[in-house]
Amino acid sequence: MENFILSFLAKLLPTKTAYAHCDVPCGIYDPKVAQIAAATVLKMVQKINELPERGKSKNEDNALIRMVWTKEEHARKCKDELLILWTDYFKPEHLQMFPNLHETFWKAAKLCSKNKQEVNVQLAQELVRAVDEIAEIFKKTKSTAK
Amino acid sequence: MLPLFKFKIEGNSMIPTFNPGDVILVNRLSYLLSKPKIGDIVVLKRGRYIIKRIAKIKKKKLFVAGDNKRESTDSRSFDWADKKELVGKVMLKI
Repeated sequence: MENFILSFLAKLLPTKTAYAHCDVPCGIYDPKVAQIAAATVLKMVQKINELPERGKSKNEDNALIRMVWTKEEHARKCKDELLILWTDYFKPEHLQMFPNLHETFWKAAKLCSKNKQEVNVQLAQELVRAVDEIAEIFKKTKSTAK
Repeated sequence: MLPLFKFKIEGNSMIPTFNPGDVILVNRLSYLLSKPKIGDIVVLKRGRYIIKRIAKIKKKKLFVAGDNKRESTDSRSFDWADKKELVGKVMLKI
């Protein structure tokens, strides 16, 4: 009876949202976004290197600026996504499984910044490999959770 | 001020107790006459409303955790919550 009255009263109340999480809806963690961002950084570095040494036209200047801007933006996005995974998804029990987890993330985040500062194919390839390694760790944690 | 709040749950951290979309009633007066207890499911205001279960208590602090440990951001990440952040105790699912 009490529950019936409460249920009736509840119909009159406005509904608020209670988050069963804190930062983003739970379970929506995926390293794919960081992987795509890292691959974009590498692609931009390769494209910048294919440009002539000095822009001969406004259009070439424009292309260089757009590529640099895209590299910058995707390096930032990659770092943001990595930090979300590192701080929100990964838990102490994952650290027990992967003792180098912090080191791996730290290096990958540093590589994002390095790739903003430089146009360097080797650094971009290192970033792609570092993010792929994190994706692999993520996959393993998901498979052990099942 | 109404003694009851109605909340719709968003997120997976309270599975299997509560699923996303569940609607619950929260009694805002629960802790006027009694103290929070370990095991109570509560709503806290930390910028926005969050729902968690009390796992540990010390003086003015609460260690809260989701029932779904693998998909929960809680005191393990944001440390102990302050009792002042308590909105109320979950009474029932409707």
